[in-house]
Amino acid sequence: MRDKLQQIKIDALVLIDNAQTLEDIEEVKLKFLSRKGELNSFKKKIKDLPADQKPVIGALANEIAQELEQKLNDKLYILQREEILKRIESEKIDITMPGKAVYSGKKHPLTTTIDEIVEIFQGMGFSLVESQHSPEVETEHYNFDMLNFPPDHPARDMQDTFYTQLAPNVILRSHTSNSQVREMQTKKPPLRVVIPGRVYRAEDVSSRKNNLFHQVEGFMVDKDITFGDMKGVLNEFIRLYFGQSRPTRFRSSFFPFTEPSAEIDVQCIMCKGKGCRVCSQSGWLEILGAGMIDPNVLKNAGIDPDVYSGFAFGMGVERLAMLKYAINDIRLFFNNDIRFLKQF
Amino acid sequence: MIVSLEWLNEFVDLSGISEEEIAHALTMSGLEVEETEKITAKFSNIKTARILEIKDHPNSDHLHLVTVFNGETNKEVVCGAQNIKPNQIIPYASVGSKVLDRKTGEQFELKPVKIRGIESEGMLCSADELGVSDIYKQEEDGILILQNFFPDIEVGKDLKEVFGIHDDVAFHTAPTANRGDQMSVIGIARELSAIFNREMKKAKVITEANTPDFKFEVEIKDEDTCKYYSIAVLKDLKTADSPQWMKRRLESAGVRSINNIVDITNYVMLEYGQPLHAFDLHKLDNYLCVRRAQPGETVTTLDGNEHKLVKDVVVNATKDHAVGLAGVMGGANSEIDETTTDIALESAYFTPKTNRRSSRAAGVRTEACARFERGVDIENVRPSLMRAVELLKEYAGAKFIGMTAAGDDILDEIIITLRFNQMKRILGIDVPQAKCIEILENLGFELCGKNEIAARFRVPSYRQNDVTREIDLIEEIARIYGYDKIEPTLPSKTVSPVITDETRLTNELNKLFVARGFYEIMTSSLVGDGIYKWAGVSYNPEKALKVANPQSEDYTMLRQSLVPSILNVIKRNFDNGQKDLWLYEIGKTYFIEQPATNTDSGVKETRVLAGAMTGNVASSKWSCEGESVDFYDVKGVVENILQILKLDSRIQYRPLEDVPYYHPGKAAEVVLLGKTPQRLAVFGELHPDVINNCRLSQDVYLFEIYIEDIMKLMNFSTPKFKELPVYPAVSRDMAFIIKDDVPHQDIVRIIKKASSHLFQKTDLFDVYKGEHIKEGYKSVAYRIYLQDLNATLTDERVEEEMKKIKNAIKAEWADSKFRE
Repeated sequence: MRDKLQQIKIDALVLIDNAQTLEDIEEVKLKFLSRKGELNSFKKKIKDLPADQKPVIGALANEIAQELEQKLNDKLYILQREEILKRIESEKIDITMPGKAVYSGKKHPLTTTIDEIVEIFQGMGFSLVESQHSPEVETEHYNFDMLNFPPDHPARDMQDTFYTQLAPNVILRSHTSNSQVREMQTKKPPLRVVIPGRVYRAEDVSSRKNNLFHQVEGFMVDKDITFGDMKGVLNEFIRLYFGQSRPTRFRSSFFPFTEPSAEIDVQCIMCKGKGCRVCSQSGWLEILGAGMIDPNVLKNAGIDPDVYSGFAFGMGVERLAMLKYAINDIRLFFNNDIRFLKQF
Repeated sequence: MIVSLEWLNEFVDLSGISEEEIAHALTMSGLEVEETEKITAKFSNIKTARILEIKDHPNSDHLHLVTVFNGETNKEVVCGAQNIKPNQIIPYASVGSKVLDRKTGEQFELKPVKIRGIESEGMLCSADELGVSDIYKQEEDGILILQNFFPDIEVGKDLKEVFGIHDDVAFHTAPTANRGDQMSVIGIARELSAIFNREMKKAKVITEANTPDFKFEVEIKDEDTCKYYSIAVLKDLKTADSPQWMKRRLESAGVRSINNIVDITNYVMLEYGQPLHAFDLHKLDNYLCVRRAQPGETVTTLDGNEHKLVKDVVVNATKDHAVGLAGVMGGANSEIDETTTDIALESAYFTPKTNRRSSRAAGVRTEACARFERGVDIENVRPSLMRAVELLKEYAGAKFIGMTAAGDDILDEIIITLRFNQMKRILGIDVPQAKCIEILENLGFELCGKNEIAARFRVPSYRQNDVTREIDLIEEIARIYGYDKIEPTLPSKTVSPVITDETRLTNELNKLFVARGFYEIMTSSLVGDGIYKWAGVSYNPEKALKVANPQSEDYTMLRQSLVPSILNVIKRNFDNGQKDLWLYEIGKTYFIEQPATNTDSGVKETRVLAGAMTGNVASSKWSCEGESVDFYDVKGVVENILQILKLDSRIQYRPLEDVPYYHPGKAAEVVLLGKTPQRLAVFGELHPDVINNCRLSQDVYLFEIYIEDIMKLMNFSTPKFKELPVYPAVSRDMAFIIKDDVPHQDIVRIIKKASSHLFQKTDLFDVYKGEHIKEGYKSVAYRIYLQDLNATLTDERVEEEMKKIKNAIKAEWADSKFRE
């Protein structure tokens, strides 16, 4: 009986060893370990054995059953692994092929620039005024008169203004400063405002000039606002916009609506001040106009210049974008070539 | 204004200060120096030499061998010029000299060279090779024969001396619109004297008594236009070349020398800032007045242009006719010429405002206007005239006959009080009182009195145009003291910015469109007739804002629609081979709505969100063919936007037939339901005619969303949380055949009407036409979602609901047939 049992075990082990597939394993299981399998059939015969052999053979049979079970499971595991590995191998794909298209577009670089500028000033407490309070079609009253441009003064020629056929006093605004007095008239100090917008100049279109472009205007009015504050705020803007602390210089200039007035240069970002074509060899790039708001402008807006003071500034969006992105032709912004728009 | 260092030094001693420091100081204090130009000879080491002998070159039929004497030795030079003769004195460049290349104008150093086998010991130079003025050019660009210009020339002289070239520096400055005083050498010198605290050298005042022969009358007929008008009469002038030093200074200032008389008027203008004009005395009848032009009057100016005048133009006139545009440009009928010997020299104060108006009305701009409109120094009008008289006597042999004037050249005093504490209040720093006074005095302001808290200053005549208030004095102090000495500070208070709903919406829309694959574009709001015609889009001419001074016909008015510009962008991109375009723009349209007033243009500016889709939905996708954009792609975008703006339940889509550039069968309008339905958006396929006319190579879909109207309707309130349903929703599908022309929108309306509160939504998920479906019919399939918030839905409830819906559809469309 023992030999018979051993023979079953050997037969089973050989089959297990030879098993190539999961089906082979099932077969072995069926043949030896199932209810009608060889081992079970053998066990049925144990009851006919002599009493002293019954426990020994029974125990041996169980042992062998367990061992075979173990071997089968081991083999099963190996075959399953092989199967998975085979599948993995067969399912291999070219992961360098492009993903299924998910499209996203881009904002226009000028919008991005305006948003960046506005965000920096918002961080310093400036509120954004949108277009409806800041008309592009404007009267001379707000574009010039209220801003202390004397009638028939050459300062009115500083910008080549577009006049209209509608009325002699209706123009296309030449700067976003038209909104200064409009804002001050409707709100009371303290005021911190930025106003982005489109402005117009009667100039021939070229790589450097367009007949319309964008500005961001801003001003701050409160008690005790000084030229020093203007320097502090604008230096901070330049630091944040250009990403690092760059030397700046404030030089005296003239705008009718500010006194004292300044033009602000930043060290050339191309040559770092050595002098190059971009900065006309000066080492400096003019990026902002600013000044302390002229007392006449405050008075025009109904604000007492003996109590309040403030500063105003303006910058050209296209110029800032051209410097930052190294764009060499202003017309590219308005041509909207998709290959251009995709770059930013 | 270009000014040379040498000229400035005549009025303020700038020794020991480098040109870089001067340029920087001027720039920082408000007179921008755009360029610092080195003035020096373009040649070096060239001497005058005499031609001794000219022989033919043995190996050439056009070259010569020329022997010259350079003052020390004889040299033999190979030369091809045909204009040379023995005994002429010419510029001789030895080996090692620097000259200019004839063709490129680049400087180069002369190297030893053999020409056709014979060594040339240097070269003889033409005007071009020396870089000297064209007036020295010889016929056929031959060698410069020096005797023709300098009769007393000697051999062996350095050519730099012959031409009077001194090394110098010219500052190219850009005066601001408020500073007429900086348009003169003296004005800039004065500025430098204040910046560097160096004393100004005063120009001497010249007086001269009238002769008994003097008989000339002047008159100011309109006091608004001219405050002071003076004429000096000079006789027996001899037209000649100006002296070398004067030519040099004029040239350094970028002014071409013409002859001594013209040069002297220009010279005095540059030096004193006072424009002068010389009339031919005999064309005037001993009388000149300043008056406004009579309507219809004409004047031909020196440049040969005839001007028909209006009342705003101010003229010089004799008793019976105009002889020039006063303070702008002289007239041809009183012009001086080669035969002129006697002149009337004008120096005047033309009022800035009327001068500017006059030059604009006449359409003429000159150096004189640039000064008059900024304001010249009235107290300097007569000294300038006498300075010119002095120079004309010395350099043109003029005899002074006499001078006369009308008007008054003494100004009312302007005295300004400066409170010292205002320095701190406006600038943020204390400037020492003594420093304030020093700066202002150096600029010519006269201290009239002071105590601890304030000082009083008299404004000099040359600054009365721009300094009238305390703040102006503060600026003067700040800019000379130096903006760089003001410490940057940050305001101590903090303020929170306000962010408006409009801003939020704009940002939201940008985000949405970008996330969906759209590129934002920005097109010109200035357009012309042409682009409307091209795009087949019409505009309302009565409401169009037209520009009075357009630069070109492409930019004559503000747009009423974004569509033409967007089509133009598409066309350009197509032409560049870019065919898959999803574009949008948030831009303004402009309509004249009300009459203009003093403070309001009456033009309505409205923001519109418009865009286009064309090409493939998924281009360059390798896994399947790209699919072309169609109507429902663009509708999907519009729907999605309206849904996000929470307007989807208040709107209806209707066929759009009244906008001619849309395909009438494939376009829709979005209408806000209400008493007066309002159009919120239009979209659809571009009309085939427009596609053809614009030569677009594929279909284009457009959308225009009127975001400003939408903004007014929007509810910006914060959403409130609703409990999530506990019981599951169920869905049932139904399919039926129905007439092809029944709109989906109507089917949904009937479904909604028939169902109870259990109804959540319905989705159209299949549409089929063709085989097995009768012509004129379509098969449609809808999925209905039902949910009871308070209980699990039973099959019976669901079936009952579906039956109601189906019955309603049968009732509405009797010929519809359900497919089971």
